[in-house]
Amino acid sequence: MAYSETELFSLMEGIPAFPHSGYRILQLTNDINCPPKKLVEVIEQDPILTMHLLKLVNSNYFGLARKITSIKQAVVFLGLNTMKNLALAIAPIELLTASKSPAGPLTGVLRHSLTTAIIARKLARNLGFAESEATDGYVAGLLHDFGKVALYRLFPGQYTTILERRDLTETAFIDLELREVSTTHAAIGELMGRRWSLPDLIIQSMGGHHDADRCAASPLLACVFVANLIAQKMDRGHSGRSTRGLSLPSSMIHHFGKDLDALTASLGLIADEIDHALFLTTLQEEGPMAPSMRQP
Amino acid sequence: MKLIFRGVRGSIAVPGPKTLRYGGNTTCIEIRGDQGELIILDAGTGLYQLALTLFGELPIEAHLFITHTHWDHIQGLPFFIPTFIPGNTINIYGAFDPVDQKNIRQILSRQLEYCYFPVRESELKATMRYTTLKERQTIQVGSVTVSNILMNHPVLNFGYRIECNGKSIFFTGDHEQLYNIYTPEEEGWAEYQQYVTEKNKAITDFMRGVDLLVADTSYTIQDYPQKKGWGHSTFDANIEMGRMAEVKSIYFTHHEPIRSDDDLERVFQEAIERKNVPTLGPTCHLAREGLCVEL
Repeated sequence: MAYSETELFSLMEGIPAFPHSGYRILQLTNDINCPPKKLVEVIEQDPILTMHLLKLVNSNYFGLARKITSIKQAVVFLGLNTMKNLALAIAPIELLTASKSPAGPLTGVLRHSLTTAIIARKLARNLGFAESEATDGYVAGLLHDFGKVALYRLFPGQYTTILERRDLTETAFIDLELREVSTTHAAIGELMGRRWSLPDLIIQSMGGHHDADRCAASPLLACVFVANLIAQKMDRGHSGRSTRGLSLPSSMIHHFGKDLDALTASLGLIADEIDHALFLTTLQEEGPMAPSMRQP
Repeated sequence: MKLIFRGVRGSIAVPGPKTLRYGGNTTCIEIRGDQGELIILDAGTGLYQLALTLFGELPIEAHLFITHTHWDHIQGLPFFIPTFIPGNTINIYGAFDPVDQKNIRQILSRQLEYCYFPVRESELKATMRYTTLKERQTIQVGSVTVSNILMNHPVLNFGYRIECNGKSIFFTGDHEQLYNIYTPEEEGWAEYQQYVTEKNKAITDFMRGVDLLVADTSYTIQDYPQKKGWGHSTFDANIEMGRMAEVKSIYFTHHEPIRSDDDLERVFQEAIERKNVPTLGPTCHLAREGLCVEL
């Protein structure tokens, strides 16, 4: 039997606070005139982000002659722009994993979310959205499956089994969630978004990313809907699984004036961008000396 | 040891009647060790001028040290003719890109991708060797020693110290003097100032006593307030840095592309007088394309 809203709220007591710093960094770095001390302040207020950045700048790849022990020191010794770009690269992962390093079963969710985010941003740009709005689309894409992170935290045993069923269709996946944990990632995602007072776009993305009609009401949400499908298709194609059943509803074809293949083609060359973002997830898991970083 | 300026302009090449005396090519410096070792600092468009002088001594072994990989410091590299000729050896050194996680070979190879250039990196005929440097790593090239320190620019930028038989040169690459991003009444000021002082001292200690300091001098003190944080320095700041580091002479380079030869000489003269250089030193010069300085 499904949980009531009150029961879900009570369950969510155990989930960590939303890492606003990651979101703030994505916003701040859109502005070329962002005051340096503002960026330093946002990073310093987040101990996890600070730790990740310090770990990175002290890695062998920087080859610094001295150890860096604070963010201010890193800005002086490495330069503001370098730190700004590093923070920008790490912020999405920080945002998604909500203050804990990504555990094994969540790796697939993390990869899918980053891919969806990058595609959603690209679709938004193609629709002519300004960069700040395209970034909103990116964050909405990044967080659309945040409910899965929450459910994993709440029911690690059962949800690990669910996450491992990568062969399921979306409908079957949601049925399995209802059967095993009595709620869905969309339902709990939407509740968490409201509880954290996130922007409405993100709440709608967390709760409505499987609902084509709901997403068609907002162009940026429509971008997330399509990006989610393309990312699933890429993942299935990559792992040799069938992509049957992954087609665009007619409301979305009407909205974009293109089918899924044409929309995928409109993305152009984004594989490098996705690879780079995914690479940073390996860095979070394995530390800065991950084998994939080694010189070719 | 001797040094020849092959490109002294910053940001973008500006050929034309207003830059004839000092030259319009972007950063490239040729250094010859006492045994003829060929050291090249940066691969701006001036590198092409250097390539044209090398045909008489092929095959060559060149050691190219990249301060950083912004366009004006690498744009001449695809046109460095010795890379196309078998028998030459080109050793390239530079920093790792921590943001995109690329080593110096991966960064520079992108310049030679299909959409940018007709010849791919793997098709170059010279023996190409790449070394991704760590900070303060020392490279020995015959009688010449090259060491580095990170400077302050919106990308990792190495300043290089070159030494040969008791003579020494320091090249800043692109560099802006460090400053505190806080005001004294703000909470972060003291901690930040401590790091600024430490880093500035590390840089001046590293170049201490060189015979020749070649310094990025893009701006005048009048230009600077609008361009603070862009990663370039002023005549006045470089004179002060040179005095702190007790260098014997300074060559100002990375001239602003907008500045005509006449304007460049005027702002140079104003700075020399303002800072009382004739009395307090050190000797100051404007870098000029083709100028050779023997040490």
